[in-house]
Amino acid sequence: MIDMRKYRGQIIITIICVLLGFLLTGKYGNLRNTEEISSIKRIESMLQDITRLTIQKEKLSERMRSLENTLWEHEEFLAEKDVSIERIRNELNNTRLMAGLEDVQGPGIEIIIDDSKGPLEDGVDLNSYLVHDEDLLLVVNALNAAGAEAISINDQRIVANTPIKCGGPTINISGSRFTPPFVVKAIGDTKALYNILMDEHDGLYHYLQMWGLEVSVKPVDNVEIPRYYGQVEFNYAKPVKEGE
Amino acid sequence: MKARTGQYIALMLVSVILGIVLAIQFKSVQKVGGSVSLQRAQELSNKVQRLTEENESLENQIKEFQQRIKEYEDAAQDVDKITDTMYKELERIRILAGLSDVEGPGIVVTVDMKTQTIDEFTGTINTITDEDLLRIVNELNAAGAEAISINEERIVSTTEIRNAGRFININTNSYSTPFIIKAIGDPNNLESALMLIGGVVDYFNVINISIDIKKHDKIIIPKYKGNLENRFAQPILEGK
Repeated sequence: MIDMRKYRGQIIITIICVLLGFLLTGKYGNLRNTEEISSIKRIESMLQDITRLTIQKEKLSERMRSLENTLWEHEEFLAEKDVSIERIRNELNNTRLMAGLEDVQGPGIEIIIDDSKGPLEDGVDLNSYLVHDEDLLLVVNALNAAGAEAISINDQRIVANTPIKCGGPTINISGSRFTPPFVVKAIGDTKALYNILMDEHDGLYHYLQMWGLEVSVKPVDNVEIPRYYGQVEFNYAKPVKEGE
Repeated sequence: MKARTGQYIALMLVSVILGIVLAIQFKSVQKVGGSVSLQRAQELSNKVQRLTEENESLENQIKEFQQRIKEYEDAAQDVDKITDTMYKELERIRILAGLSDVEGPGIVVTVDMKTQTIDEFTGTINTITDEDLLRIVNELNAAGAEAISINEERIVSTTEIRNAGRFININTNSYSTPFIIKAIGDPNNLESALMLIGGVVDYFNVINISIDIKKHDKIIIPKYKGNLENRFAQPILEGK
Protein backbone atom coordinates (compact mmCIF):
# COMPACT_ATOMS: atom_id res chain seq x y z
CA MET A 1 0.00 0.00 0.00
CA ILE A 2 2.80 2.32 0.84
CA ASP A 3 4.43 1.53 -2.50
CA MET A 4 1.22 2.10 -4.44
CA ARG A 5 0.88 5.49 -2.87
CA LYS A 6 4.45 6.18 -3.89
CA TYR A 7 3.54 5.65 -7.54
CA ARG A 8 0.01 7.02 -7.46
CA GLY A 9 0.98 10.51 -8.53
CA GLN A 10 2.97 9.21 -11.50
CA ILE A 11 0.18 6.84 -12.54
CA ILE A 12 -2.45 9.52 -12.50
CA ILE A 13 -0.29 11.85 -14.61
CA THR A 14 0.41 9.08 -17.08
CA ILE A 15 -3.26 8.22 -17.37
CA ILE A 16 -4.12 11.86 -18.00
CA CYS A 17 -1.40 12.01 -20.66
CA VAL A 18 -2.72 8.92 -22.38
CA LEU A 19 -6.28 10.25 -22.36
CA LEU A 20 -5.00 13.52 -23.75
CA GLY A 21 -3.12 11.64 -26.42
CA PHE A 22 -6.21 9.69 -27.41
CA LEU A 23 -8.28 12.83 -27.37
CA LEU A 24 -5.82 14.58 -29.67
CA THR A 25 -5.56 11.71 -32.13
CA GLY A 26 -9.33 11.35 -32.13
CA LYS A 27 -9.90 15.00 -32.89
CA TYR A 28 -7.20 15.03 -35.53
CA GLY A 29 -8.61 11.94 -37.20
CA ASN A 30 -12.11 13.38 -37.28
CA LEU A 31 -10.88 16.58 -38.79
CA ARG A 32 -9.05 14.76 -41.54
CA ASN A 33 -11.96 12.54 -42.40
CA THR A 34 -14.43 15.35 -42.95
CA GLU A 35 -11.80 17.26 -44.90
CA GLU A 36 -11.21 14.29 -47.13
CA ILE A 37 -14.89 13.59 -47.76
CA SER A 38 -15.66 17.22 -48.53
CA SER A 39 -12.68 17.53 -50.87
CA ILE A 40 -13.65 14.36 -52.76
CA LYS A 41 -17.18 15.68 -53.14
CA ARG A 42 -15.83 19.04 -54.21
CA ILE A 43 -13.51 17.51 -56.78
CA GLU A 44 -16.36 15.40 -58.19
CA SER A 45 -18.62 18.40 -58.56
CA MET A 46 -15.81 20.42 -60.15
CA LEU A 47 -15.13 17.64 -62.65
CA GLN A 48 -18.83 17.68 -63.58
CA ASP A 49 -18.70 21.47 -63.93
CA ILE A 50 -15.69 21.18 -66.21
CA THR A 51 -17.42 18.66 -68.48
CA ARG A 52 -20.55 20.81 -68.64
CA LEU A 53 -18.63 24.05 -69.25
CA THR A 54 -16.45 22.45 -71.91
CA ILE A 55 -19.49 21.26 -73.87
CA GLN A 56 -21.04 24.70 -73.46
CA LYS A 57 -17.85 26.32 -74.66
CA GLU A 58 -17.76 24.17 -77.79
CA LYS A 59 -21.35 25.08 -78.60
CA LEU A 60 -20.73 28.79 -78.00
CA SER A 61 -17.56 28.75 -80.10
CA GLU A 62 -19.41 27.09 -82.95
CA ARG A 63 -22.20 29.66 -82.66
CA MET A 64 -19.71 32.49 -82.66
CA ARG A 65 -17.90 31.17 -85.72
CA SER A 66 -21.11 30.80 -87.66
CA LEU A 67 -22.19 34.34 -86.75
CA GLU A 68 -18.75 35.62 -87.65
CA ASN A 69 -19.13 34.00 -91.06
CA THR A 70 -22.58 35.53 -91.54
CA LEU A 71 -21.17 38.89 -90.60
CA TRP A 72 -18.28 38.43 -92.94
CA GLU A 73 -20.64 37.46 -95.80
CA HIS A 74 -22.73 40.56 -95.12
CA GLU A 75 -19.67 42.78 -95.26
CA GLU A 76 -18.44 41.05 -98.39
CA PHE A 77 -21.81 41.46 -100.08
CA LEU A 78 -22.04 45.12 -99.11
CA ALA A 79 -18.44 45.78 -100.12
CA GLU A 80 -19.16 44.52 -103.63
CA LYS A 81 -21.93 47.04 -104.00
CA ASP A 82 -20.14 50.11 -102.77
CA VAL A 83 -16.52 51.32 -102.94
CA SER A 84 -16.59 53.23 -99.65
CA ILE A 85 -17.90 50.13 -97.89
CA GLU A 86 -15.22 48.03 -99.52
CA ARG A 87 -12.52 50.41 -98.34
CA ILE A 88 -13.72 50.38 -94.76
CA ARG A 89 -14.19 46.59 -94.88
CA ASN A 90 -10.57 46.11 -95.93
CA GLU A 91 -9.38 48.36 -93.18
CA LEU A 92 -11.51 46.51 -90.65
CA ASN A 93 -9.92 43.21 -91.65
CA ASN A 94 -6.40 44.62 -91.43
CA THR A 95 -7.06 46.22 -88.07
CA ARG A 96 -8.57 43.00 -86.69
CA LEU A 97 -5.38 41.21 -87.69
CA MET A 98 -3.16 43.84 -86.02
CA ALA A 99 -5.32 43.95 -82.88
CA GLY A 100 -5.09 40.18 -82.35
CA LEU A 101 -8.73 39.51 -83.26
CA GLU A 102 -7.93 36.88 -85.90
CA ASP A 103 -6.64 33.34 -85.52
CA VAL A 104 -3.23 33.34 -87.20
CA GLN A 105 -0.70 30.79 -88.36
CA GLY A 106 2.89 30.91 -89.54
CA PRO A 107 6.43 29.77 -88.76
CA GLY A 108 7.69 30.33 -85.24
CA ILE A 109 8.70 28.69 -81.98
CA GLU A 110 7.20 26.96 -79.00
CA ILE A 111 8.64 27.42 -75.52
CA ILE A 112 7.63 25.32 -72.53
CA ILE A 113 8.51 26.62 -69.07
CA ASP A 114 7.82 24.57 -65.94
CA ASP A 115 8.62 24.72 -62.25
CA SER A 116 11.86 23.10 -61.16
CA LYS A 117 11.64 19.31 -60.89
CA GLY A 118 14.90 19.00 -58.97
CA PRO A 119 15.09 18.14 -55.26
CA LEU A 120 14.68 21.03 -52.82
CA GLU A 121 18.04 22.05 -51.47
CA ASP A 122 18.41 23.24 -47.90
CA GLY A 123 18.40 26.98 -47.41
CA VAL A 124 17.18 27.74 -50.92
CA ASP A 125 14.02 29.83 -51.16
CA LEU A 126 11.16 27.73 -52.59
CA ASN A 127 10.21 30.77 -54.71
CA SER A 128 13.24 30.33 -56.91
CA TYR A 129 11.91 26.92 -58.03
CA LEU A 130 8.70 28.40 -59.43
CA VAL A 131 7.83 30.17 -62.67
CA HIS A 132 7.03 33.84 -61.98
CA ASP A 133 5.07 36.48 -63.83
CA GLU A 134 8.33 38.34 -64.47
CA ASP A 135 9.81 35.30 -66.24
CA LEU A 136 6.89 35.21 -68.67
CA LEU A 137 6.96 38.99 -69.13
CA LEU A 138 10.65 38.82 -70.02
CA VAL A 139 10.05 36.01 -72.52
CA VAL A 140 7.21 37.91 -74.24
CA ASN A 141 9.35 41.05 -74.34
CA ALA A 142 12.36 39.21 -75.80
CA LEU A 143 10.19 37.60 -78.48
CA ASN A 144 8.80 41.02 -79.39
CA ALA A 145 12.35 42.35 -79.62
CA ALA A 146 13.03 39.58 -82.15
CA GLY A 147 10.06 40.71 -84.19
CA ALA A 148 7.32 38.31 -83.09
CA GLU A 149 4.06 39.06 -84.88
CA ALA A 150 1.76 37.10 -82.58
CA ILE A 151 2.29 35.55 -79.15
CA SER A 152 0.14 33.39 -76.90
CA ILE A 153 0.66 31.87 -73.45
CA ASN A 154 -1.43 28.74 -72.81
CA ASP A 155 -3.54 29.75 -75.82
CA GLN A 156 -4.28 33.21 -74.41
CA ARG A 157 -3.42 35.73 -77.11
CA ILE A 158 -1.15 38.50 -75.84
CA VAL A 159 -2.58 41.89 -76.82
CA ALA A 160 -1.52 45.45 -75.98
CA ASN A 161 -3.20 45.51 -72.57
CA THR A 162 -2.62 41.93 -71.44
CA PRO A 163 -1.42 41.87 -67.84
CA ILE A 164 0.67 38.93 -66.58
CA LYS A 165 0.48 38.80 -62.79
CA CYS A 166 1.32 36.30 -60.07
CA GLY A 167 -1.62 35.45 -57.82
CA GLY A 168 -0.46 32.98 -55.20
CA PRO A 169 0.51 29.66 -56.82
CA THR A 170 -1.08 30.65 -60.14
CA ILE A 171 -0.36 33.28 -62.79
CA ASN A 172 -3.09 35.54 -64.14
CA ILE A 173 -2.96 36.13 -67.88
CA SER A 174 -5.72 38.34 -69.27
CA GLY A 175 -7.63 37.73 -66.05
CA SER A 176 -7.58 33.91 -66.27
CA ARG A 177 -5.54 31.87 -63.83
CA PHE A 178 -2.98 29.35 -65.02
CA THR A 179 -0.66 26.86 -63.38
CA PRO A 180 2.60 25.57 -64.89
CA PRO A 181 3.68 24.38 -67.36
CA PHE A 182 3.41 27.50 -69.47
CA VAL A 183 3.39 27.02 -73.23
CA VAL A 184 4.47 30.17 -75.03
CA LYS A 185 3.94 30.25 -78.80
CA ALA A 186 5.23 32.95 -81.13
CA ILE A 187 4.98 33.52 -84.87
CA GLY A 188 7.81 35.31 -86.68
CA ASP A 189 11.28 34.71 -88.08
CA THR A 190 12.03 31.34 -86.45
CA LYS A 191 15.78 31.89 -86.44
CA ALA A 192 15.58 35.36 -84.88
CA LEU A 193 13.11 34.16 -82.24
CA TYR A 194 15.23 31.12 -81.44
CA ASN A 195 18.51 33.02 -81.30
CA ILE A 196 17.31 35.77 -78.98
CA LEU A 197 16.33 33.16 -76.39
CA MET A 198 19.39 30.96 -76.82
CA ASP A 199 21.97 33.80 -76.93
CA GLU A 200 25.04 32.78 -74.94
CA HIS A 201 25.33 36.09 -73.11
CA ASP A 202 21.83 37.21 -72.27
CA GLY A 203 19.53 34.52 -73.66
CA LEU A 204 16.60 33.90 -71.36
CA TYR A 205 16.93 30.14 -71.89
CA HIS A 206 20.14 30.14 -69.88
CA TYR A 207 18.81 32.64 -67.35
CA LEU A 208 15.71 30.55 -66.60
CA GLN A 209 17.71 27.31 -66.48
CA MET A 210 20.10 28.91 -64.04
CA TRP A 211 17.15 29.27 -61.65
CA GLY A 212 16.50 25.57 -62.06
CA LEU A 213 13.35 25.96 -64.16
CA GLU A 214 12.57 23.37 -66.82
CA VAL A 215 12.78 25.13 -70.17
CA SER A 216 12.51 23.84 -73.71
CA VAL A 217 12.66 25.87 -76.93
CA LYS A 218 11.58 24.30 -80.20
CA PRO A 219 11.36 25.81 -83.71
CA VAL A 220 8.04 24.96 -85.35
CA ASP A 221 7.17 25.14 -89.08
CA ASN A 222 3.59 26.12 -88.52
CA VAL A 223 2.37 27.60 -85.25
CA GLU A 224 -1.33 28.31 -84.77
CA ILE A 225 -2.25 31.11 -82.39
CA PRO A 226 -5.89 31.79 -81.45
CA ARG A 227 -7.51 35.20 -81.50
CA TYR A 228 -8.09 37.34 -78.43
CA TYR A 229 -11.46 36.53 -76.90
CA GLY A 230 -11.51 39.19 -74.21
CA GLN A 231 -13.61 42.29 -74.05
CA VAL A 232 -12.96 45.05 -76.54
CA GLU A 233 -14.66 47.70 -74.47
CA PHE A 234 -13.11 51.04 -73.69
CA ASN A 235 -14.72 53.11 -70.97
CA TYR A 236 -12.07 55.80 -70.65
CA ALA A 237 -10.11 56.01 -73.91
CA LYS A 238 -11.91 57.79 -76.73
CA PRO A 239 -10.48 58.39 -80.18
CA VAL A 240 -9.18 61.93 -80.68
CA LYS A 241 -11.33 63.42 -83.42
CA GLU A 242 -9.23 64.67 -86.27
CA GLY A 243 -9.10 68.44 -86.71
CA GLU A 244 -9.45 69.01 -82.98
CA MET B 1 7.05 -7.18 -5.79
CA LYS B 2 4.79 -4.16 -5.64
CA ALA B 3 7.53 -1.81 -6.78
CA ARG B 4 8.17 -4.01 -9.84
CA THR B 5 4.46 -4.06 -10.72
CA GLY B 6 4.52 -0.27 -10.64
CA GLN B 7 7.48 -0.20 -13.04
CA TYR B 8 5.65 -2.56 -15.41
CA ILE B 9 2.64 -0.29 -15.39
CA ALA B 10 4.77 2.77 -16.09
CA LEU B 11 6.53 1.00 -18.96
CA MET B 12 3.23 -0.11 -20.42
CA LEU B 13 1.86 3.39 -20.33
CA VAL B 14 4.97 4.84 -21.92
CA SER B 15 4.60 2.26 -24.71
CA VAL B 16 0.98 3.25 -25.23
CA ILE B 17 1.93 6.91 -25.47
CA LEU B 18 4.68 6.02 -27.90
CA GLY B 19 2.09 4.19 -29.97
CA ILE B 20 -0.12 7.24 -30.06
CA VAL B 21 2.79 9.48 -30.98
CA LEU B 22 3.61 7.10 -33.83
CA ALA B 23 -0.01 7.10 -34.92
CA ILE B 24 -0.03 10.89 -35.06
CA GLN B 25 3.24 10.88 -36.97
CA PHE B 26 1.81 8.40 -39.43
CA LYS B 27 -1.25 10.55 -40.00
CA SER B 28 0.91 13.62 -40.61
CA VAL B 29 2.84 11.72 -43.24
CA GLN B 30 -0.46 10.83 -44.87
CA LYS B 31 -1.39 14.47 -44.78
CA VAL B 32 1.59 15.42 -46.92
CA GLY B 33 0.15 13.11 -49.55
CA GLY B 34 -3.12 14.94 -49.07
CA SER B 35 -1.65 18.30 -50.00
CA VAL B 36 -0.98 17.01 -53.51
CA SER B 37 -4.70 16.49 -54.01
CA LEU B 38 -5.18 19.95 -52.58
CA GLN B 39 -3.06 21.34 -55.39
CA ARG B 40 -5.09 19.28 -57.85
CA ALA B 41 -8.28 20.76 -56.40
CA GLN B 42 -6.81 24.22 -56.89
CA GLU B 43 -6.06 23.41 -60.53
CA LEU B 44 -9.59 22.17 -61.09
CA SER B 45 -11.13 25.22 -59.50
CA ASN B 46 -8.93 27.43 -61.72
CA LYS B 47 -10.16 25.54 -64.73
CA VAL B 48 -13.81 25.97 -63.73
CA GLN B 49 -13.26 29.68 -63.25
CA ARG B 50 -11.43 30.03 -66.56
CA LEU B 51 -14.06 28.15 -68.54
CA THR B 52 -16.80 30.24 -66.94
CA GLU B 53 -15.01 33.43 -67.95
CA GLU B 54 -14.30 32.20 -71.45
CA ASN B 55 -17.95 31.27 -71.93
CA GLU B 56 -19.02 34.67 -70.68
CA SER B 57 -16.80 36.45 -73.16
CA LEU B 58 -18.01 34.14 -75.94
CA GLU B 59 -21.60 35.05 -75.04
CA ASN B 60 -20.71 38.73 -75.17
CA GLN B 61 -19.04 38.25 -78.51
CA ILE B 62 -22.12 36.46 -79.85
CA LYS B 63 -24.42 39.26 -78.67
CA GLU B 64 -22.17 41.80 -80.33
CA PHE B 65 -22.13 39.91 -83.65
CA GLN B 66 -25.91 39.53 -83.56
CA GLN B 67 -26.23 43.24 -82.94
CA ARG B 68 -24.04 44.11 -85.90
CA ILE B 69 -25.75 41.65 -88.24
CA LYS B 70 -29.07 43.21 -87.24
CA GLU B 71 -27.69 46.68 -87.95
CA TYR B 72 -26.52 45.60 -91.39
CA GLU B 73 -29.89 44.06 -92.15
CA ASP B 74 -31.83 47.05 -90.88
CA ALA B 75 -29.73 49.43 -92.90
CA ALA B 76 -30.31 47.26 -96.00
CA GLN B 77 -29.63 49.64 -98.86
CA ASP B 78 -28.55 52.63 -96.80
CA VAL B 79 -24.84 52.93 -97.54
CA ASP B 80 -24.31 55.73 -95.03
CA LYS B 81 -25.80 53.72 -92.19
CA ILE B 82 -23.73 50.67 -93.08
CA THR B 83 -20.47 52.58 -93.28
CA ASP B 84 -21.42 54.22 -89.99
CA THR B 85 -21.82 50.84 -88.27
CA MET B 86 -18.58 49.60 -89.74
CA TYR B 87 -16.75 52.75 -88.80
CA LYS B 88 -17.82 52.50 -85.16
CA GLU B 89 -16.49 48.95 -85.08
CA LEU B 90 -13.28 50.10 -86.73
CA GLU B 91 -12.78 52.86 -84.14
CA ARG B 92 -13.14 50.37 -81.30
CA ILE B 93 -10.71 47.86 -82.76
CA ARG B 94 -8.22 50.61 -83.59
CA ILE B 95 -7.94 51.48 -79.90
CA LEU B 96 -7.06 47.87 -79.08
CA ALA B 97 -4.56 47.76 -81.94
CA GLY B 98 -3.14 51.13 -80.85
CA LEU B 99 -3.80 52.59 -84.28
CA SER B 100 -5.60 55.75 -83.22
CA ASP B 101 -4.72 58.73 -81.05
CA VAL B 102 -6.82 58.47 -77.90
CA GLU B 103 -7.77 60.80 -75.08
CA GLY B 104 -9.27 60.30 -71.67
CA PRO B 105 -8.62 60.52 -67.92
CA GLY B 106 -5.53 58.84 -66.53
CA ILE B 107 -2.12 59.34 -65.00
CA VAL B 108 1.26 60.61 -66.11
CA VAL B 109 4.22 58.90 -64.43
CA THR B 110 7.69 60.43 -64.64
CA VAL B 111 10.66 58.27 -63.71
CA ASP B 112 14.18 59.61 -63.52
CA MET B 113 17.44 59.02 -61.69
CA LYS B 114 17.68 60.90 -58.38
CA THR B 115 21.44 61.22 -58.56
CA GLN B 116 24.04 59.39 -60.59
CA THR B 117 25.10 56.66 -58.19
CA ILE B 118 27.69 53.98 -58.62
CA ASP B 119 26.60 50.47 -57.70
CA GLU B 120 28.67 49.33 -54.70
CA PHE B 121 28.92 45.79 -55.95
CA THR B 122 29.33 46.03 -59.69
CA GLY B 123 30.95 49.46 -59.95
CA THR B 124 28.60 50.39 -62.78
CA ILE B 125 26.36 53.43 -62.88
CA ASN B 126 22.84 52.68 -61.71
CA THR B 127 20.29 53.34 -64.40
CA ILE B 128 16.67 52.63 -65.15
CA THR B 129 16.39 49.30 -66.95
CA ASP B 130 13.95 47.75 -69.37
CA GLU B 131 12.64 45.54 -66.57
CA ASP B 132 11.71 48.59 -64.48
CA LEU B 133 9.62 50.00 -67.34
CA LEU B 134 8.10 46.60 -68.16
CA ARG B 135 7.04 46.30 -64.57
CA ILE B 136 5.26 49.66 -64.62
CA VAL B 137 3.47 48.82 -67.90
CA ASN B 138 2.36 45.45 -66.53
CA GLU B 139 1.05 46.97 -63.27
CA LEU B 140 -0.88 49.61 -65.21
CA ASN B 141 -2.39 46.94 -67.47
CA ALA B 142 -3.39 44.90 -64.43
CA ALA B 143 -5.12 48.04 -63.10
CA GLY B 144 -7.19 48.27 -66.29
CA ALA B 145 -5.19 50.75 -68.38
CA GLU B 146 -6.82 51.12 -71.82
CA ALA B 147 -3.88 52.80 -73.55
CA ILE B 148 -0.26 53.33 -72.50
CA SER B 149 2.68 55.21 -73.98
CA ILE B 150 6.29 55.70 -72.92
CA ASN B 151 7.89 58.88 -74.25
CA GLU B 152 5.05 59.06 -76.80
CA GLU B 153 5.65 55.49 -78.03
CA ARG B 154 2.31 53.69 -77.91
CA ILE B 155 2.55 50.30 -76.22
CA VAL B 156 1.02 47.69 -78.55
CA SER B 157 1.03 43.87 -78.46
CA THR B 158 4.31 43.71 -80.37
CA THR B 159 6.12 46.47 -78.44
CA GLU B 160 9.54 45.56 -77.08
CA ILE B 161 11.22 47.44 -74.21
CA ARG B 162 14.90 46.50 -74.39
CA ASN B 163 18.14 47.78 -72.89
CA ALA B 164 20.50 48.95 -75.61
CA GLY B 165 23.63 50.32 -74.00
CA ARG B 166 22.77 53.55 -72.21
CA PHE B 167 19.42 53.70 -73.96
CA ILE B 168 16.21 51.75 -73.91
CA ASN B 169 14.64 50.74 -77.20
CA ILE B 170 10.89 51.03 -77.46
CA ASN B 171 9.21 50.18 -80.77
CA THR B 172 12.77 50.09 -82.22
CA ASN B 173 13.44 53.75 -81.27
CA SER B 174 16.03 54.65 -78.59
CA TYR B 175 15.18 56.66 -75.49
CA SER B 176 17.00 57.75 -72.35
CA THR B 177 15.88 59.27 -69.03
CA PRO B 178 13.56 60.77 -68.05
CA PHE B 179 10.84 58.33 -69.04
CA ILE B 180 7.34 59.71 -69.16
CA ILE B 181 4.67 57.04 -69.02
CA LYS B 182 1.09 57.96 -69.80
CA ALA B 183 -1.86 55.70 -69.13
CA ILE B 184 -5.58 56.19 -69.79
CA GLY B 185 -7.99 54.51 -67.38
CA ASP B 186 -9.46 55.09 -63.93
CA PRO B 187 -6.86 57.52 -62.47
CA ASN B 188 -7.39 56.32 -58.89
CA ASN B 189 -7.03 52.65 -59.79
CA LEU B 190 -3.94 53.31 -61.88
CA GLU B 191 -2.31 55.38 -59.16
CA SER B 192 -3.03 52.96 -56.34
CA ALA B 193 -1.71 50.01 -58.38
CA LEU B 194 1.71 51.69 -58.36
CA MET B 195 1.45 52.84 -54.72
CA LEU B 196 0.80 49.37 -53.24
CA ILE B 197 3.03 48.46 -50.30
CA GLY B 198 6.05 46.67 -51.75
CA GLY B 199 4.93 47.83 -55.19
CA VAL B 200 6.58 49.88 -57.89
CA VAL B 201 6.94 53.15 -55.95
CA ASP B 202 8.45 51.42 -52.92
CA TYR B 203 10.81 49.45 -55.11
CA PHE B 204 11.95 52.52 -57.05
CA ASN B 205 12.68 54.37 -53.81
CA VAL B 206 14.98 51.53 -52.79
CA ILE B 207 16.89 51.53 -56.07
CA ASN B 208 17.24 55.32 -56.08
CA ILE B 209 14.87 56.12 -58.94
CA SER B 210 12.54 59.08 -58.55
CA ILE B 211 8.96 58.42 -59.52
CA ASP B 212 6.30 61.08 -59.77
CA ILE B 213 2.62 60.31 -60.40
CA LYS B 214 0.09 62.93 -61.50
CA LYS B 215 -3.59 62.32 -62.12
CA HIS B 216 -5.21 64.12 -65.04
CA ASP B 217 -8.76 64.56 -66.32
CA LYS B 218 -7.59 64.42 -69.88
CA ILE B 219 -4.42 63.13 -71.45
CA ILE B 220 -3.69 62.34 -75.06
CA ILE B 221 -1.84 59.20 -76.12
CA PRO B 222 -0.58 59.03 -79.70
CA LYS B 223 -1.09 56.11 -82.03
CA TYR B 224 1.51 53.47 -82.86
CA LYS B 225 3.75 54.62 -85.67
CA GLY B 226 5.70 51.42 -86.29
CA ASN B 227 5.51 48.65 -88.83
CA LEU B 228 2.04 47.42 -89.72
CA GLU B 229 2.89 44.63 -92.12
CA ASN B 230 2.78 41.02 -91.05
CA ARG B 231 5.47 39.04 -92.85
CA PHE B 232 4.89 35.72 -91.10
CA ALA B 233 1.57 35.62 -89.30
CA GLN B 234 -1.31 35.04 -91.70
CA PRO B 235 -4.97 34.78 -90.80
CA ILE B 236 -6.39 31.27 -90.67
CA LEU B 237 -9.27 31.58 -93.10
CA GLU B 238 -11.83 29.08 -92.02
CA GLY B 239 -14.53 28.77 -94.61
CA LYS B 240 -13.91 32.35 -95.66
